[in-house]
Amino acid sequence: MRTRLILLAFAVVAIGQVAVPIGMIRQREQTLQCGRAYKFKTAPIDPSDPFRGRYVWLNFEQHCAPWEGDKNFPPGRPAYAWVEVGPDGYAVVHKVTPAPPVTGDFVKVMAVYPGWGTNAGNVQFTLPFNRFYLEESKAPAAERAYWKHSNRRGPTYQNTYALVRVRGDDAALEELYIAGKPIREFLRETKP
Amino acid sequence: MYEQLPGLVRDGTLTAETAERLRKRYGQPTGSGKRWAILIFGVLGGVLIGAGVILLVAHNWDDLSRSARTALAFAPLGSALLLGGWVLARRRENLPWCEGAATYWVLTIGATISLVAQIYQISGDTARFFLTWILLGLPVVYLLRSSVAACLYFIGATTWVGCINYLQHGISPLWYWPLLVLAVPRLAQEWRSDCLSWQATLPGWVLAVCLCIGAGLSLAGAMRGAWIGAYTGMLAIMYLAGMRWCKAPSVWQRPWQTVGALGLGVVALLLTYYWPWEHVHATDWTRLGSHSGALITGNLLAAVLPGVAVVIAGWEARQAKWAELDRVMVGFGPLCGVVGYALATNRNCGVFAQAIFNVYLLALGLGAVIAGIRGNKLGRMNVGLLALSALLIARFFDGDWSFLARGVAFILVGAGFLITNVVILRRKGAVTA
Repeated sequence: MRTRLILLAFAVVAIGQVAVPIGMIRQREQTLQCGRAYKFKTAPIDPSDPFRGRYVWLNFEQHCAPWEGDKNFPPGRPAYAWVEVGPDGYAVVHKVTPAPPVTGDFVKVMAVYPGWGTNAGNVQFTLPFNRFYLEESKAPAAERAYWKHSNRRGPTYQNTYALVRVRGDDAALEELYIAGKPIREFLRETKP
Repeated sequence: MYEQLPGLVRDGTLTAETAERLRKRYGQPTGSGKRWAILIFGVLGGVLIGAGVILLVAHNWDDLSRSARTALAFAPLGSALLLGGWVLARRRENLPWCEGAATYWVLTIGATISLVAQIYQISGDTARFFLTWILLGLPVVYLLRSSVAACLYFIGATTWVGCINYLQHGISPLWYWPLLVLAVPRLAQEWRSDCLSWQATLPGWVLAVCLCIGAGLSLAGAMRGAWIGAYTGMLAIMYLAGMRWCKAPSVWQRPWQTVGALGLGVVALLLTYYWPWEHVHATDWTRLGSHSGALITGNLLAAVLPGVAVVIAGWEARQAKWAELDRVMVGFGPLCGVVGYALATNRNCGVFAQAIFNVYLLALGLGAVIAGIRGNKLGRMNVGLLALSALLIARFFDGDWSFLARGVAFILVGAGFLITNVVILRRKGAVTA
C-alpha cells in the first residue's frame, strides 16, 4: 500500500516536472506559429550564461516612448509597450502604459526610468527578448558581425534586426538578421 | 566497540553474556567506512553527471533541428525520472542510491528548463528560473528522503531571494521564509530520529548559513535597520535552540550553535560602529503605501525574532549555572538590538546604541570566558577571548585612546589568553607543573 502511494506520488511529480517545460514549449510554439511578426532594429554585446551558454546580447534602437501613467513610478516596474509596424516596415513602440491595451499588439517591458529635459513625458524601457542564444564557438563571430552591421553609418544597417513574433502577452524571438540574412547563414557565408 | 569487546571480556571488565547482549543490542557491524565511501561516491557521481549535463546544456547544438534539440532537452530529466522511479521501487532503503539519484534528479530539472529556454530563445529572468527549479525539485527531497537534495533546495531558495526584485516580479522577498519552511518537515524527520547523524547535520549547516545570507535579503522591503533586530534575534535563537536540543560532541555536529555564536559575534562587532545606526530613522514609516505589505511584514518579522529569542533566553536564565552563562549573554543580544534600534529611531541617538553594543560585546566575551573556565571548556573560553580581542582591535583603529591605554589593553588580553589556557589545560591534566 505504502509503495503504491509512493509510486503514485512519483507519477504525479514526474508529470508536473515534464509539464512545466512542455508548457514553455507549447506557449512559444503557438506564438511562433500564430504570432504577428515584427522587425526590431538592433545594437549588441557577447556575454555568457552559466546555465544556458553563450548568447548575443541585443540592444534595440528604440528604447524610449511616450509614457501614459504615473510620472513618479518606481524604476524597474513592469509596463506594456504598444507596438505597430512603422512606415519603413520596422516595429515602432508608439506608447508605454502601466496596463495592457484591450486591442492591438503589445510587449511586456520593464520601465527603467522616466525621461527628462527634451525627453520629458517619455519612458526608458527594456524589451524582454534581449538574448539570442548561439552555439559557443559561433557567438563571438556573431557578436563581431552584429557590431559591424548594427553601425548606423554602415551600408547594411537597414537590414540588421531581430524578428519577433507577438501574440497576447508573449513575445518570441524567432531570428536575428544580419545584413538581411539569418545570423547562422550569414556566418556560414562570411566564414574565412 | 566491536573491536574492543574481546579484550574487555578477557580482562574481566565485561562478562561474556554482557558482551553478547551488547552485540544483540547494536546488531552486526556494517562496515561504516565502506558505506560512507559508497554514499560519498554516489552523491559525487550524481553531482558530476548533473554538472556535466548542465555543461552540455550550455553548449548549443546548432546543427540539429529545433524539434530534435527539444527532444534531446528532455533526455536528462527523462533519465533522472527513470532512475528515480527505479530507486523508489527497488532501492528505497539504500541511502547512497537515494542520495545519488536525488542529486542527479534535482540538477537535471534545472538542465531541462535551461535547455528549453535556450532552444526557444526565452530570455526569462534568473529569479523565476530558480523558483521554478526549486519548487519542481522539492518533491524529490521527500520522495527519496534526500538530505543533499534538501541542501540544494535551501541554496536555490537563497539564490532566488538574492535575485528577486519586488518591483519587477511583484513578489515580496519575504516569501523566502515560507519557501524554507516547505523543506523543514524533512529536516525535522532527521532531527527527531538522530540529530547527530550527517543527514541532519549537513542540511543543518547549509540551512544555518543560507539563513545568515537570506534573512537580510528577505527584508529588502522593510525599514532601514530592520536587519538589526532580525539578525540578533535569529542568531540568538539558532544558538539557544542548538544548545537545548542538539548537544553534540564535535563542532561538525553543532551547526546551529556554531553559526549562531559566530554570527552573533560578527553582528555585535558591526554594531559597535556608528555606520549601522546612522541611517536608521522613524520617518521610514512614511513609505507606507503601495508596498506596505512588505514593509509591515518585514518589520513584524524583525520584531518577533528578537522577542522570541529574549523569551527563550529568559527561560534559560532561570535554570542557568555559571558554566552556562553564555546562554544568558546570548539572550541579551537581541534585547540590545531592540533597545539600540528604538534609541536610534526615536531620538536619533545612534551613539548610545553604538555604546550599548560595545558594552554588550565586552560582556558576551567575558561571559564566554567565565562559562569556559567554570565548565572547563577550552574552546568556549578562547571564543570569548577572541570576541574581546576583536572588540579591542576594532576600537584600536577608530577610538581616541592613547597609545599607552591601547598597549596596556592588548597586553592584558594577551596575558588573559595565555594564563586562562594554561589554567584550563592544567585542570584537564594536559600540562604538568
